[in-house]
Amino acid sequence: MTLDIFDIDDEELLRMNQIEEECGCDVIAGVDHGVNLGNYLFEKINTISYDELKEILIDSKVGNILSSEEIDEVTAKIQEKILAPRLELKTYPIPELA
Amino acid sequence: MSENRRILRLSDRQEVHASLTRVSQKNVDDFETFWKPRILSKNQGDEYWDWQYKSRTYLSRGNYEAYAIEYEKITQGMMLIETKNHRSWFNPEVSLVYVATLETAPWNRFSIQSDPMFQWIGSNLLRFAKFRSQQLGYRGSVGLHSLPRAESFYEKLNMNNCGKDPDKDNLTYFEWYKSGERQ
Repeated sequence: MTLDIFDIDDEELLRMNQIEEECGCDVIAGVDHGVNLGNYLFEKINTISYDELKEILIDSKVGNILSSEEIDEVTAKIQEKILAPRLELKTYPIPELA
Repeated sequence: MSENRRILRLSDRQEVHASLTRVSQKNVDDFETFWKPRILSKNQGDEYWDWQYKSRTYLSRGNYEAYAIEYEKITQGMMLIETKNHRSWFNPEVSLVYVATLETAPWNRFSIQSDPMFQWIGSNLLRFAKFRSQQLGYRGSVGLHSLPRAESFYEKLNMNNCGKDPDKDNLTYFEWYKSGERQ
């Protein structure tokens, strides 16, 4: 095979056919948070950074309906509403001086 | 770009000629019109894959490419690949082509209908990802995350099973990896 022409010879085609026949399954690949977005966010929420959270929102269905500015706003609100209280809970009380 | 590809029509088991092209708005429209209603009515795991969004978001970036296979002017399969930023699971110094999305039309899926219309669609697209990897000097290295029902296919293609990836919905990561000199 040259690098200019994409070609699959008969032998390889037969092999491809054999594999598809044996598997009898769909050929499908890829990650999409889609329906699992809620669970995914829940798992990530304790360690997630602003940029990571924003990227997840952009890559999800939400990114399809909101503008970039709205995504920024939603990201900030999620951080404010969910992350901030958790961070507060994780602060340690200052011990009283004896 | 448009190349002739051989695919198998299952109704009479005849090879027919399809074309491999860059994804265009026409392919995205086919997805919306013909694919989506069928996918949404089944529990396919790709209900939320949205080519309208993918083409708008990713194809404006220089590191993504998308390809489609058409037969009789209907889109039979589509693939989105990333060509610059992904590295091999085996060796972070080795670049690879990452298959971000690979899917066939719902009427070509065994999980949707017991008598699919065409075969070799996904194989052709995946083989093209390998070809692009060779063109780019990545020695044919290709990585992807498989949906559970397709894992046996990638195993039979001798892709390395690298295990479940907790960062990607626990999907299994597969890789064609060609060891060799540094790139």
